[in-house]
Amino acid sequence: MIRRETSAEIDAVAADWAARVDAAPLDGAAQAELDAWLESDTRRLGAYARARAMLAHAGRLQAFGTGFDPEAYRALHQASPPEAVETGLEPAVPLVRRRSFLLGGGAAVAAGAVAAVGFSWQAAAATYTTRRGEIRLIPFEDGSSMTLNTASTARVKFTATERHVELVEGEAMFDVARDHARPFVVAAGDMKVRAAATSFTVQRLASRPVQVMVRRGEVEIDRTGLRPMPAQRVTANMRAISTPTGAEIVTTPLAPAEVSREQAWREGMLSFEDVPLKQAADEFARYSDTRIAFADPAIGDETVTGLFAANNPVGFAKSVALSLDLKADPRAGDVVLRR
Amino acid sequence: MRGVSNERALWLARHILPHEPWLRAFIARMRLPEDLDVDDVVQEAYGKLASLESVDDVRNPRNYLYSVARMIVLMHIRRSKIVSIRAVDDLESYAVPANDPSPEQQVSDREQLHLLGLAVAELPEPSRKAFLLRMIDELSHKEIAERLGMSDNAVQKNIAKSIGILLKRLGRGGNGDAGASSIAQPHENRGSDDTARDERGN
Repeated sequence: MIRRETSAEIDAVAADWAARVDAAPLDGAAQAELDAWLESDTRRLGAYARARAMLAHAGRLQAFGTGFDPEAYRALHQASPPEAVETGLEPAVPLVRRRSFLLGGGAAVAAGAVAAVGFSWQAAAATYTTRRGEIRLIPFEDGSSMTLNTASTARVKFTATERHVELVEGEAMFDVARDHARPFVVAAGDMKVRAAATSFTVQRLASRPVQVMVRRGEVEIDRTGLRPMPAQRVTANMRAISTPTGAEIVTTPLAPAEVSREQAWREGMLSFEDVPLKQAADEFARYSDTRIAFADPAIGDETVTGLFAANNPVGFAKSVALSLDLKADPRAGDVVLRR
Repeated sequence: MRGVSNERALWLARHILPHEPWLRAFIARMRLPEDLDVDDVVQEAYGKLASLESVDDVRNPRNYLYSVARMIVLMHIRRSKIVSIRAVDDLESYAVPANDPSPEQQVSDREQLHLLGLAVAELPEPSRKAFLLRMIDELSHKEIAERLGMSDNAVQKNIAKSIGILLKRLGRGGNGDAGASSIAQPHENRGSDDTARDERGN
């Protein structure tokens, strides 16, 4: 009995025939020869059809254009995970953009989710206000949150393209969830803070320059004044203050401990370290109607260290009097520190 | 005249070739008779599809491909001298797969081009140069022969060699080192098509 021809042997002959047909149309004799070969076994016809299909498939290579360097292509793209296929990216996207597209894959997915949520946010434009002494945590649907400090007002408007908060007055801390498709922007005076996945505080008080403090991540700050300045990047443990001239933003590094001290208000506390009493009194004034006054202005220059309840200026005054050998004199509407 | 028309070759390239790794994985799980291996079934399946009068009625090429392959295996089991009842039982239990999209089915044109680009990088020289001049620059075999300083016959051999290597690489899922081996190597996959099994992935 004749040995059964192996599939590999068939494949080799079939590839030869496919290449031969590719070279030029077969003449009568060659065609008869091919027909005879194909006749005897379905596998031969299959192998030949498969080889012809491969050549037809390889016609796609034209998309790469003349001068295509397969080795350079492989070096550049081999790391690309085939899972990208499953993200349903458009086949029409040119191959050269493959890599950048992959990086944006998450954003594309997020954008889809945002588009679905976007409509519900259209109605979500809202103004939040806290009274003196009130601290309010406002969670947003996107996973971000805003903690509004005492006597503050913020206008929030989330759209499909931007998460926008205007800090009208006061102070707020933002914990921003990442959303590439929708930047988180906080406007305060002429400062515009743009954030990704970040935790930062923006302060806008009547008597002080606007300031931004970054606890985690980084933000970009723009000024919307007459003279446009390049966006300035402010990273974690930095404070950015807008100068009164409006020309530039001054940044200073902060120790992490200082940053967390500055944000003690989120727990309803005020934390001071070697802070002049008059400055501490100003802080308390933000949280309470009860004023801290000094019988002698020199007392205001004494410094204080410690953690105090923000809504209890009288308790603070008594505590300070004890440590500085002063007398705290509570009266209607204020508490006076005297020697 | 039996042959394969250009239209049919293109149809196979578009609708069947992308599913070949998936098909191989299915066949590899079947209990094949001793004289039959995965490559045999694949060749026969292509043969059957090539000899169809028309493919206009093939709505779901992937499922059709599977039915054809299954029928081929069943036919061989019935013809084989030692009939394994279990083999038939096993085969009966392989229903035509549900119409859920397999990863291979989701392979986009863009991804196919990507795999093709990677596979071409595996071609040895001067086959690669000849193949690209043919496919991208659409030079004739004669022009390629002049350009590369080889005979017409050598160009044809290099094209054939390229076809063989690319089929091994792409037909089996585009990974593994199948592309590096010679196409003339006999029976390298008889009885154990590991590449196809790995394709299954679960």
